[in-house]
Amino acid sequence: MASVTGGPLVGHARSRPLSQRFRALLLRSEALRGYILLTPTLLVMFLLLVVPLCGMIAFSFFTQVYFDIDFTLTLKNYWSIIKPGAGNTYLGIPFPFETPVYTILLVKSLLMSLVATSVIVLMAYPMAYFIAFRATNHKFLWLVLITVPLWTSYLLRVFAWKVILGHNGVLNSGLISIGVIEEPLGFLLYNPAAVIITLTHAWLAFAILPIYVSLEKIDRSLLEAATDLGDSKLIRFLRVTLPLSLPGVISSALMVFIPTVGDYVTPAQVGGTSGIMIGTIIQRQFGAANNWPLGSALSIFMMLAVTAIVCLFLWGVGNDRIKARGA
Amino acid sequence: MKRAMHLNLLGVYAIFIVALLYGPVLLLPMFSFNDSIYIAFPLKGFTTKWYQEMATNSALLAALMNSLKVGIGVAIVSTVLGLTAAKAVIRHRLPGKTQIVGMIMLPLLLPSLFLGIALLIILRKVFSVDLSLWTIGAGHVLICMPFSMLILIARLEGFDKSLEEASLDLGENAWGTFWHVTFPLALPGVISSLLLSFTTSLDEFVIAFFLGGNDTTLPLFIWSQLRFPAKLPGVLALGSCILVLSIVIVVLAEVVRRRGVQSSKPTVF
Amino acid sequence: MTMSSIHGRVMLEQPPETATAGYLAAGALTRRELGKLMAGAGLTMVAMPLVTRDAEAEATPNLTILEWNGYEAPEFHPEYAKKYSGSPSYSFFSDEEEALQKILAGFNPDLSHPCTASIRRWKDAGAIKPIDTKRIERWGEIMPELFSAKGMVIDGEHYMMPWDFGFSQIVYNPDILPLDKPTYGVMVDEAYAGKVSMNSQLDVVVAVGGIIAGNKNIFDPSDAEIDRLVEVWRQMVKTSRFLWSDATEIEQAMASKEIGAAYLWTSSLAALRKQGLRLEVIPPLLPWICGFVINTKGPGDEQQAYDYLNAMLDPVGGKASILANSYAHPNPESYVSVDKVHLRSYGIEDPIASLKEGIFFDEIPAAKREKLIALWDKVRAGL
Repeated sequence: MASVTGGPLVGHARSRPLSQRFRALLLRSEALRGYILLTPTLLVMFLLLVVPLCGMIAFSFFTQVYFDIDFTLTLKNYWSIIKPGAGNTYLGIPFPFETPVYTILLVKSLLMSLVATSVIVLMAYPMAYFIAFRATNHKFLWLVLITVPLWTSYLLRVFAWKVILGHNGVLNSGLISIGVIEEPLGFLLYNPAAVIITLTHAWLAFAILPIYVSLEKIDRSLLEAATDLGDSKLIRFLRVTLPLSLPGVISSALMVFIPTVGDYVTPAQVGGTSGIMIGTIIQRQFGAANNWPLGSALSIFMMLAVTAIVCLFLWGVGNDRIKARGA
Repeated sequence: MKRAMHLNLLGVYAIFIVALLYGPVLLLPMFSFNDSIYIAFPLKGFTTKWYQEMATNSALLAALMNSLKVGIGVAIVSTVLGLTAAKAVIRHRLPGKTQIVGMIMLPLLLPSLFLGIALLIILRKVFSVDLSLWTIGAGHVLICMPFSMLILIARLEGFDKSLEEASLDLGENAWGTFWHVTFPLALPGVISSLLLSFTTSLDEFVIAFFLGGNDTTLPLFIWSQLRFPAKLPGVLALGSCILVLSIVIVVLAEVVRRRGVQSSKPTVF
Repeated sequence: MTMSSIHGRVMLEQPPETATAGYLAAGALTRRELGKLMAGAGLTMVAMPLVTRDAEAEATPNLTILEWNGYEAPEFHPEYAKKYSGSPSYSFFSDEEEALQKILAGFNPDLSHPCTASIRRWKDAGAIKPIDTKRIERWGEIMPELFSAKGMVIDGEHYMMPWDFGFSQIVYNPDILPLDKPTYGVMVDEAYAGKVSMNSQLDVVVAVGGIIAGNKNIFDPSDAEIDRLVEVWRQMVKTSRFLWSDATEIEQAMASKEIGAAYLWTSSLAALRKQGLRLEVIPPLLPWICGFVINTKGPGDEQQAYDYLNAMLDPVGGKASILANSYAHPNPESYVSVDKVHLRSYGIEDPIASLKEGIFFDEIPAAKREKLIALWDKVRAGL
């Protein structure tokens, strides 16, 4: 709705001769000014996102019949995801569904992504800290330096990792030449660990940037004040720096977690036969399996799961922050 | 003493991270001089033929130019949209703010394949737009905007609002305030957002596949080349050139910047 | 509920129009609403630079082809390039199903390049129309045996002009796996676990799995045969180091000697042998035929489409394509001046004989296909 009311106003706001009354209105109404600022973004979002999204929601209630779509509304697609049945166990957890493959792959993808995100954010924080507080004169240089490797194609970087971890790869050849092993190690590549390593390489720079941004804006006088009050470096970090940089950590975690859940390319490239993910199945519904309704339902299913985890995470972090403030 | 130790430890870590990021990538130049179509050990022999092949492969170079055009455009548009939206969300008490932010984050959640197909339907069947680099750009803005927003919200959140109010009180108009107060405050975020959006667009291929007509971007070109492994070393040579050129440009920019800072110092003080 | 009834009616009025009719109907609804919004916001401005180029003058190329990368070389269509002083525009794809989805979603090429196993699906989806063979002068020069391939002719109509064909096969490296009696069984032999690699595409695993399982109707398996097939798949996934999806991936792994046996395309086999790798072929060969189809909503000049098809049958271009891509060409004249050594290394010295002796990639009936995809995904997930 915002875009409808805000649209024409933008035109007015840009044209120079503003009526005095309009200006007064603008100054008075916080929300109105906010919406005007938001309008361009919301318009783009509305046209390119809301319309497709509504389409997807609608599609998830239809049925694919070969190349036709049966437009009768049905919950069949959702039911096929969670219909109880004999099921399987995965990682010792029972999945009592008739088609457990969807839920199992979802859990697998979420776990993989959680592990990757934790590793990446933990590795990113000290680097961001370094750029924000130590690299005083060369901040821009460092920022670009960490992104430049990403400008060579993703695919080439995956090849590079295969060369490092592979059968006759850098790591194996190195270990053999110094006599640690005799035969190439097979477990380096084509397994979940290789996926985590490759994802870390791909996303680390992405995770560093938001943390850096929020560390950068911390008021240095606060840190001095903490030192003056006799806080040790560690205490100062825990009481001042870390809480103040939390928005960046949160952004960074979300930025890595959310897209990697649906990633199906990296696992397919370096994950070996175990490299199938929920994203693989969804992608197949829009491709080879040609079942858009099921693909849509699975996408929504995945989105709900991710949203739930994100909310849980934000709620947990929020609680911590409140506690920290109270203390 | 203690402080120096601390600095060193972090410094060592920073060097480790840079080595980690560059290590795999530096293999590319090595293999680009290897006389074999396969990126595998053992190395076969030295050759520069892949560079000749790259230089004469007009489709490859055209794809690179397309990618640069789209990437730079997307970085600017998505950062501008992200900045205005972040400012609106942070500075103004908006009803429905959480929902709006949630919505802007949504593209992160959607499978890229779905986004590609859905956008294609919207652009072709609703707007009857011909596919081109513009349509790829539109798709990329959609997926880059959440990144820009996340970064810029993190940057703007918690800044003292009174700075902007003071500027308005002192008679600056809204644009002047934005330009002289908000923008400088947001600058580190803006740079990060530009870098991220550019990088994302440069590497994206699923949306580019569906929204690209006859124009090919670099990742698309590389993916379609996978059918012909013999052509991959040319791509490798290109990757190496991109890497070396970027590093040279970045270092030059830094040198120029520092010169500028030094020469301008006396006039400031 | 109103929504479903609206769409339901649309469906009744235009029963044969496939899913596209539905998408269009949905589009029409939203277009009206969006039109209002756009007018209000003055957004039409944004769309201005995106408006189409005008139709170009006659003697210039006016043709768009959805093509695999590597087939766009002007040497493959010299006559067309000469007549229209240039080449058509190409848009590239690397997966047949994604290409079909792109067409269904509204990208309209004039010609595209699928393979026989997909033709019926493309036709059923409304993406292609019959070829008027009389408009292709060289149609009669095509090796007649190609037309007896399954799926090539549907209901007496030619939907595809066969163009490139070749053979896939299971290949092993005797230096890594010294097999006594090489059979397809190597792909499920626990002794070679981690040393072999299967392809991940459904048609391929149905063919190879069906051969290993000893199925009679490989591409249309009965329920009992499906059970056997799934068992083979389970074993195959366990034995495979990874399931490959692009030629580069598997060629890299074979070149680095990580993999000793794999499903391989002929082009990969030729390339790896050229790099000095010793590779042996395990029979039977798995032949396939791809070719050109005419798309239903192509915006270009139809005469140019036919001229292009005719040009692609020219033996001069045929020879160039054989040498460049190592696949067979439908015009027997193309082979006359190609060195026999090349033909032998590509395995196309007598392409028709090889075609007959192998197990041809047949189409999988639609209902079976859906079932098999679900099963294959399940097996891949380790269940």
